[in-house]
Amino acid sequence: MKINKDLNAASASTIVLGILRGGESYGYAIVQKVKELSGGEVEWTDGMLYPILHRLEADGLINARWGESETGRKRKYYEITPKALPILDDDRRQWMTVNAVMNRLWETQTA
Amino acid sequence: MSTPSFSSELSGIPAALAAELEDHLIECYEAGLRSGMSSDEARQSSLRSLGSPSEISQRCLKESDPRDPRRNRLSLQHRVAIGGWLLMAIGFASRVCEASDPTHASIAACIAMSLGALVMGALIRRQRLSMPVAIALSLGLTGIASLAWLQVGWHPWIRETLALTPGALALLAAFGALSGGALTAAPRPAARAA
Repeated sequence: MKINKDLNAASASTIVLGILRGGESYGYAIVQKVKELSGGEVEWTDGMLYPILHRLEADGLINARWGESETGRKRKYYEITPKALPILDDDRRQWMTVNAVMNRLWETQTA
Repeated sequence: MSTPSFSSELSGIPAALAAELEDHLIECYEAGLRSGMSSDEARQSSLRSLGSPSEISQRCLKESDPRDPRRNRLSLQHRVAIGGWLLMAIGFASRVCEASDPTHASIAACIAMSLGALVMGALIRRQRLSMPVAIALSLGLTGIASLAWLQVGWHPWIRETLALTPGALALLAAFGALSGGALTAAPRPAARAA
């Protein structure tokens, strides 16, 4: 399923922060996690992730460190910062509110 | 399993980002091979899924630009710098007005020196220099220009009235650089990232 571009843009940062809340990760793994969580329904362009990661890092919501992959390649790992946690919680509440409104709307219209 | 090189596609990209994208491309490539693709197919597939590295690089630079108006706000430091510069500029202007016989050229020169430090700070900041380097360059340029003007147009009333000591000039240049940098950063409330 191709997700509307605006919806993708609106949700991307929250999704990335939510994934990183579960532990440190890196770019490719984050993209794969999104595919896994959505059952393959949400597919990001791989390249759209990196500007988001750089913006979140510049805003102090994630930290980055250079490490190594299993084969010794340089790899950049990201982790969520304490500053991001209340922001993520607030985003979660907002999305749940919007989701609840949508669900009630569809129920009303299909009833 | 030998990994292909993506250096030609990643040339011209900042080294750190190129390393990050190369790791991503190689992971994609290896996943493609595991799914049964040939080496060429896996390589092309990884490049297609990533998109244009140069566009990604430009967007990353834009997103992490510290001068992004979405991110910048006037900090206490900036407010002090702008306030200090304004006070010094007003101080110079008031001393000029109090002088017994200030010429139009002298008045214009004093105003130009005050504005010069501010403009230099703004221009230097636009070159993406760090604040300490911007202050140092502004100090140097304002100092040199001021000393040259004072040597050429040394009027007795300047020495008596304005007391343009090196320390005062240095403060003017420093405040000008900080103020110029603050104004260039387009102070607006930072948008919450989400």
